[in-house]
Amino acid sequence: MLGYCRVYISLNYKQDQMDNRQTRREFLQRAAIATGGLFLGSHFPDLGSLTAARGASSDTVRLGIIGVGSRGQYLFMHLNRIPGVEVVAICDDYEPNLKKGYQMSGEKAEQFEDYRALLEKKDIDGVVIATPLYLHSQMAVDALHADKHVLCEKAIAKTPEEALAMYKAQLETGKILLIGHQRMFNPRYLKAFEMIKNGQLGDVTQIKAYWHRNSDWRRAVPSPELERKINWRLYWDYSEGLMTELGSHQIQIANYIKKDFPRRIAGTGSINWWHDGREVFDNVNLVYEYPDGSTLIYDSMTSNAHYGFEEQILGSKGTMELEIGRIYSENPPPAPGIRQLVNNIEHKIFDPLPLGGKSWIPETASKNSGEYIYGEDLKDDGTFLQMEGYIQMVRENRHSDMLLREAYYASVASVLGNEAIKRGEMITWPEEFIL
Amino acid sequence: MPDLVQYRNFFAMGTRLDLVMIGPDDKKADRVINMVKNLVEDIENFLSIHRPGSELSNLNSEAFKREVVVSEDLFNLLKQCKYYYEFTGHWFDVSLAKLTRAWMGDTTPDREVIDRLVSNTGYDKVEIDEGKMSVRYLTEDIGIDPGGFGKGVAVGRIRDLLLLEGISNSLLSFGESSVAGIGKHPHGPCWPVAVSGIFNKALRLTTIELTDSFMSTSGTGFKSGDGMFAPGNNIIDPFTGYPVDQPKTVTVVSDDPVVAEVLSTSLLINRNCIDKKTLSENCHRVVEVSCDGDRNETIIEILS
Repeated sequence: MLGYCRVYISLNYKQDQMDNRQTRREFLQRAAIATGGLFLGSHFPDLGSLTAARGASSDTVRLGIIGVGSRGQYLFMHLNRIPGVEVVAICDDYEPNLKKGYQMSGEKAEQFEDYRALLEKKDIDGVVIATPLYLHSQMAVDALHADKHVLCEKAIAKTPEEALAMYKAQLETGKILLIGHQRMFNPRYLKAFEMIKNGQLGDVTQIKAYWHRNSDWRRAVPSPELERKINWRLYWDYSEGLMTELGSHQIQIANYIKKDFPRRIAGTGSINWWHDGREVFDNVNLVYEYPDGSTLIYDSMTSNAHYGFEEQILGSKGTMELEIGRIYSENPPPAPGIRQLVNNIEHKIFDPLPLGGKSWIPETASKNSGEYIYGEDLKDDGTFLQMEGYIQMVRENRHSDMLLREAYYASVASVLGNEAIKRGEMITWPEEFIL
Repeated sequence: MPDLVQYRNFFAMGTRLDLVMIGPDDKKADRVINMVKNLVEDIENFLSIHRPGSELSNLNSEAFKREVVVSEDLFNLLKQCKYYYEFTGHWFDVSLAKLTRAWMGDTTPDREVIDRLVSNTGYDKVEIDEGKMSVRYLTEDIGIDPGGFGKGVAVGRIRDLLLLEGISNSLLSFGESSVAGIGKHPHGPCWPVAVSGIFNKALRLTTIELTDSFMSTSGTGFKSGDGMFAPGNNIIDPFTGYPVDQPKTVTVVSDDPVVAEVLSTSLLINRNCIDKKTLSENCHRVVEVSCDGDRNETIIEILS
């Protein structure tokens, strides 16, 4: 097995990105140490215990990509930036996608239309699955049983049953199963998690998250019979709509911060703007309740983009907005003189308090503009770091049960949100879907 | 066993409130600071002109159009303002909200606008009916902004609350310009507070000793987020309509927090607005700090 030093060195590949990335890496190392994280050089937050995955480690990681549509191509682009990675096989049942993927491989990758044939290849270490949601579970389970490590796009699966099957398949095979919740690899989020863990927000009693767009969420369809194949996100047979495609990211963040998953869910949803033949809701509005009585209030809409997307973490001592990366304290900074006074009293010093002056006012009296959580303006949303992380996990042959459980609970919560909306009542998390 | 020192603070009235309490344990300190927050919140709810729904905001928008019946709290406060308006020879005047606002823009207001606002404002144009507990503004340019007066009211009530809760030694600072020294410092006979320079914050010009007394400092400009002087047209001469533009502070020490607030503002505009005898009957000490063009800081003891 390769040690972390080997991996660390192998990742220092581009001098032009070196300074920036080194800074992030150093931070992540510190975070991993501070939070009891595991192996140095990783991109991970507090992962809990990593288990040794089954299989041999190798220096060069050989991958297959199942699904080379827009998301698959995006992931492919990142993989192409990582040294020591070869995408040796691609699979798609839509010819234009396959052609594009082939070009991205430098016309080297073996092409497949059936993923099962790709899985029969013995010379690939792992796969990346970027197919429509309804295909995730079967493909991932089959890949794990074919002795392949798996990175599968979020959400984990279309139903809780399928998600559970994937979780069990990982346990049975011992292979790596990582789900594409890239915020767990984003240094800004990791810093925020560390600050929350250290109590800087006090008790988190509410999380508000939203994802607003003003677009129809459609892809161009070259001929009508391809409508459902290309716009699969809009139909219940293939997708769970806004909740799995967008909401699962944000629910995952909420769960990770709460260190728990919600037990009760209620909400409403409808098609109130895009009356274009779609089936999935074009707006959803939900309340998720955690065991301690705190809540995640979630909504997503497609007819107004003014507020964009955000996760607002509301604690007794402060507030965080994770997407823009700011923290707002409930209390002002102490007056410097007062801080000195307290210190003097504790040291039995009787000394004048330097105060008498004009009124102190915040920089803007009516608005607390907060401070940056993480000073750096990141150009990556965590996707590249997640791909690096996956490669590193494959190299080190280690699986993170914590990340998989987080992904599982986030995805099941997304699907249960839709169920609560459809049933029109508050639902309780089913016992059979508690790991 | 030494007394516990508890420090709490929060945003309030457009600034911060800092409270150092001697004696209470964590639980009691948390309980007391929550009571203080609630008290200040109640005061802001009827007194703040920055809250559109406050009783005073409502009065400002309606009282020229019609006679407005107000709560006992607000009525008593307006009566007090009337009293201090007369007491200071009209130098303390809370009816200048619109005149003050005219100076808050990016450009200097026109002379005719200032003249109109000066002639149309003044607390004598606020009509108070004791019997009906109602208020009416006689011109549409009247707008009441209690400013530091509100902080004085709040500081006095917080003092009463702390004593009621058995906290007999504490120091309260409201934006660092309104300070209450209740009881004494654990290691000395009073709460000593240094008066600093306007530009040179490290310069300690004099020390004021607070023992169950209040200190209010009015000044031109503000102390910004980094604690440094920031110019501002915040203090307006009610007779000329122009701001006091010289960098200057006046600090007044009194047994009454409202008196300290009223006199620090009035004396900043006119050092002679009140005679020495009256001043000595109402205050313990008055100091003025001013600055010339070369930033030389000068302190004058108006009452010592």
